[in-house]
Amino acid sequence: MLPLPPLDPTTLYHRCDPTALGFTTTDELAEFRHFIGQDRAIHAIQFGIGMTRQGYNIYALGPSGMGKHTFVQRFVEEQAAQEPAPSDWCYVNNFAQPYRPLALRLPAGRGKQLRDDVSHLIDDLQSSLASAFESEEYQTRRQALEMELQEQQQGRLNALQEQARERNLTLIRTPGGLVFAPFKDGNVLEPEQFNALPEEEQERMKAEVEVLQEQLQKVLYQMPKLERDIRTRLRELNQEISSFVLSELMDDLQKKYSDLPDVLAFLQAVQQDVGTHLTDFLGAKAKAAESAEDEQPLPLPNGASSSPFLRRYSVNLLVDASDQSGAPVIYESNPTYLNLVGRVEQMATMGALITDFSLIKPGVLHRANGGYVIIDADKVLTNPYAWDGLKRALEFRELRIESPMQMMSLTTTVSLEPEPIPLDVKIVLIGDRRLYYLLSQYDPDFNELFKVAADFGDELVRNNETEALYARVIATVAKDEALHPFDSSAVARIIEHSSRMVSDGERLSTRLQSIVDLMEEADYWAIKAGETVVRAAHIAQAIDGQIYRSDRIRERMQEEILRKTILIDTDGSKVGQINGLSVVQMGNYAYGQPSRITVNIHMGNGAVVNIEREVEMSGPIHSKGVLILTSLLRSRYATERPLSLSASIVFEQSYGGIDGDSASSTELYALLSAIANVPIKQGLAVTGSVNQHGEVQAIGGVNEKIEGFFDLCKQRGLTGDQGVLIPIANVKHLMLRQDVVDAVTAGQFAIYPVATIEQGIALLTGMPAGALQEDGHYPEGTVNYRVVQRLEELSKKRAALEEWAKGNEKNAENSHAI
Amino acid sequence: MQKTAMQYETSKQRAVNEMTALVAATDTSAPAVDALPERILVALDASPHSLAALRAAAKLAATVHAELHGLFIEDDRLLRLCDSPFAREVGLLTAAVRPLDSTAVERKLRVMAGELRYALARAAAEVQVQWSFHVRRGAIERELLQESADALLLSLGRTSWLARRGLGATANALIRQTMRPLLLLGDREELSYPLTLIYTASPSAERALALAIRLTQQAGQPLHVIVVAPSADAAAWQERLSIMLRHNEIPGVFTVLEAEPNESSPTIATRLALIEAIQKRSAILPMEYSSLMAELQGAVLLVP
Repeated sequence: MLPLPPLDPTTLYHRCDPTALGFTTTDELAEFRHFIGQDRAIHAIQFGIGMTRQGYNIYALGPSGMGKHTFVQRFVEEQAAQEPAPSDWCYVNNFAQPYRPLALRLPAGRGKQLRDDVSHLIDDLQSSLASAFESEEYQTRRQALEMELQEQQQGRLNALQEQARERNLTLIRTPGGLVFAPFKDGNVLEPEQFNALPEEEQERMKAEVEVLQEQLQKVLYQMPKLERDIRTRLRELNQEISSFVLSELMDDLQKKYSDLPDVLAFLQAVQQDVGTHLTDFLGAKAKAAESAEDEQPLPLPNGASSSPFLRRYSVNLLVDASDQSGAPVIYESNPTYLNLVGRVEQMATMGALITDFSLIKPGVLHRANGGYVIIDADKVLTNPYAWDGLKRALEFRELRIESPMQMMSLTTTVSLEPEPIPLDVKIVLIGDRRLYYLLSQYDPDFNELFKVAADFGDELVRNNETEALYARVIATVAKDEALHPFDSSAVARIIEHSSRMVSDGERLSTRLQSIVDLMEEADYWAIKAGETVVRAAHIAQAIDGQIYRSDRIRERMQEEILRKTILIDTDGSKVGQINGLSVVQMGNYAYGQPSRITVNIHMGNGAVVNIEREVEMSGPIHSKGVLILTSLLRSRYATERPLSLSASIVFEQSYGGIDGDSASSTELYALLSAIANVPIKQGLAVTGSVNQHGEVQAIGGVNEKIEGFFDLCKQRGLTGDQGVLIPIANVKHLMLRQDVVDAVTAGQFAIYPVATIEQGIALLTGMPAGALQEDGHYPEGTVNYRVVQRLEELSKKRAALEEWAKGNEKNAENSHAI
Repeated sequence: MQKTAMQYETSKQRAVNEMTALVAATDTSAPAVDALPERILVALDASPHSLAALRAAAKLAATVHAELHGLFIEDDRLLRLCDSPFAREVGLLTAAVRPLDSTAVERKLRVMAGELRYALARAAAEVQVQWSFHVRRGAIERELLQESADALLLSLGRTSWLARRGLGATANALIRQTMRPLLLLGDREELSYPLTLIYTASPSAERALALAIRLTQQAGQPLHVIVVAPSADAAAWQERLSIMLRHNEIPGVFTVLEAEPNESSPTIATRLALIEAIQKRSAILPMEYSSLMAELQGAVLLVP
């Protein structure tokens, strides 16, 4: 079997040919404002927008930074522009139940008209009614009524006084009433004078006083009725005057809004209320004028400056669509509960908080009713009660304004219960995938309300066509962001970097934000260099800058390896010791780091101990990898006899957790080395998982891992014997740094594409793995032969040991019997 | 027969010395303005009318810098009546008949006095004048006449009764007997400037003129004068009044009503003409026109 050749340098980096792009700079390219490679998401959003059934709201899921927001907004706005403008909504006073304001729906633009019309109506009514009630006709009729009352009251009392006088009695006022007194010559009789009168005269006067008292009682009883009668007639007079004025002013408005029955009902209610509250209505103007004269130390809330009484007739224009063309599209950046469903504000008056329908404020759902709302999923979920409020509105398709305290039934104070408004809105939530799956799993309402998932892919296939489109996207961004033009080499470098971002030479990243960041930074470096065109060198400078700003930890780790604080060999050979490779993720930056893996074996019962697992530092996938390699060991070498060894595997100097199965092949190599007692070349590092049949499988982060080991070797000096074994399935993912490619080209470093364990162990030990022959044995001088020999040796020793132990047990039993 | 003229200057050129002599002669025939007592008396009985009289009195006291004296009189007829075996009170509100108990009546009178004292204090405080409050027991008219003998004027409600129009018994009695000016108001009436003076050249009219000058001059207001004069004298009287007012720096607005002024009561035509000319303005009448008191609306000041 020939030794596995290293990869050709051309396979290490999937280059983009600038000349093939067909332009000099991005100035020559046409704009491209569509998403590439997002057909699935586009289909989903088109479907979601077109579907008018309940619950077909959209969740746009995908990683952040790929321009989902821009895309969704643009797409929805295009659709909304073709739809009709929404209705205006107003809240008006419910005169029968003031705590339940009424909602009025009007065609777009007519809400503002109604508000202004009613405001003018109230002004006109005040003036007209005041004039009418100050008119000579009204005053004369009113005074006549008052005079009639006085004359009737006075006349009856005067008549009584006259009767009394004829009987030598007079009527005297007391602090609490009236009293009849005997009267003679203009003076009230003293008690002595009265007693001096003949007894008959006294009795006569007493009797007459009693009669007069009864008559006085009747007169006084009748007085409230008289006043009531006059008040009724006065009310009728007021009603007559006000009806005349009101009907005259209302006629035009009623004709104007004759097509809107709810508005007509409201106008009718206003007319009735003004008629029944004339005193307050006319008094309000004077009070408003007085309060306007008082200097207000602080500005009052909107509407508070007008008379509190007159506010009852105002129209609270909640949604004004007069300037709206097409359906509204609103992005709510702060989706709190109150910002979503609206609120009822309160204002401090005389030390108390009061409210009314004029203080109802709309939420974004009101303003977007009949259109679209775009919300960030994480924000709506992290704002207390916002998610519940949104769901309830969507579920019942109506907007009910309640404070959170009311919603939670934590307060029972008197407040408003505005009439709910029918809701017809499409919600587009934007969030990451994890949130989508969590909601989908744990919130039963979510799947009912957000039936459309627009799944944005984070990568797309790289080919000539997509590269050309990518270039146009780059050109569009350069124009939008006012960047210098990018030449073809810079665009090619960006495309290559895009592949590197997704760790796949045959794919491109859709995370447009990262590309925009890279372009802006490259533009910065071009300006610093005094150039007017951004070139590949500036892109490289920007990438290097990004890495340099982030790789302090990587550099420290590298230093510690070089200083031999962390022990990693990069030359020589050792038994049971191998260089594994891991990836460390630090925020948005990932780097590869070599780790020493060692294996010890001894006679035992076939157990392979994963020391990381023993101390709970091993993740489940890593533990699974170790179990797979144990199984592989048993199936390959212990089919005829028990596996009479035990082994322990450990990641040396690992103080954090280990997870992933990318080290399982590495661990297997170290185990085979330890069993066969064959040393492994320390100049090589290994990554790749292994299955039960010994096939090496793909892993993630291949580029970072290779570069991590390369950097260490380079620091120590490249020997030409160093390299990395990677799964052959990862070759297509290679997008290695230029210095790595250069070293490989110069023969100073090698990348080996490994398909099987046999290929890997041969490379690592320099000894062929050895294929199983027809006689069931491996050829001598191979690793497998040495493994089998060692296992047989251990097995025999173990059998002898067990025999000896059994003999001892028997002797002991016999001794006991004796 | 009626002629209206508004004059701030005389049409005839007279020598300054002649005018001065004329003013001096007029002053001697009328009570000296400066000698008037600096006390305004207001009769209080808790009726809305008397509270209107209180407001008007406070306003005048502030204008002429006089003290405000409130007087509440406990009607001795009522107190005597309490001892009568048959005296029963009929409640105004409920029409319930109850015995007239002297202790209860006296207590109620004290309560009323306390409330009136408080009302007086508030009214005086509003216009920042000195005030005092007194309670007397006796016949109402007699006590008021006595107390007002040295007052600048006596202010009282038209009636303590229910009616707003017409005059009560007390007001009628005082009109007949008073030696001091009487200011009468109904419950919704108030004293308002400019004042309207009825001038007839009678002695009481001259006193009314002096009082009008006093009340108007310090208020800084014009004075409406209705000159009731025979046609032959009208121009001369108006000229004289004009000089007087100008001397006191008061703008005068004149209305001439040609009629015979020296009658104990005006003719029907004169009465109607005066009522129409005065309308609801605050008026100052000479004693001979006291019969107009019951018919005029608004504050009326009657000068004996």
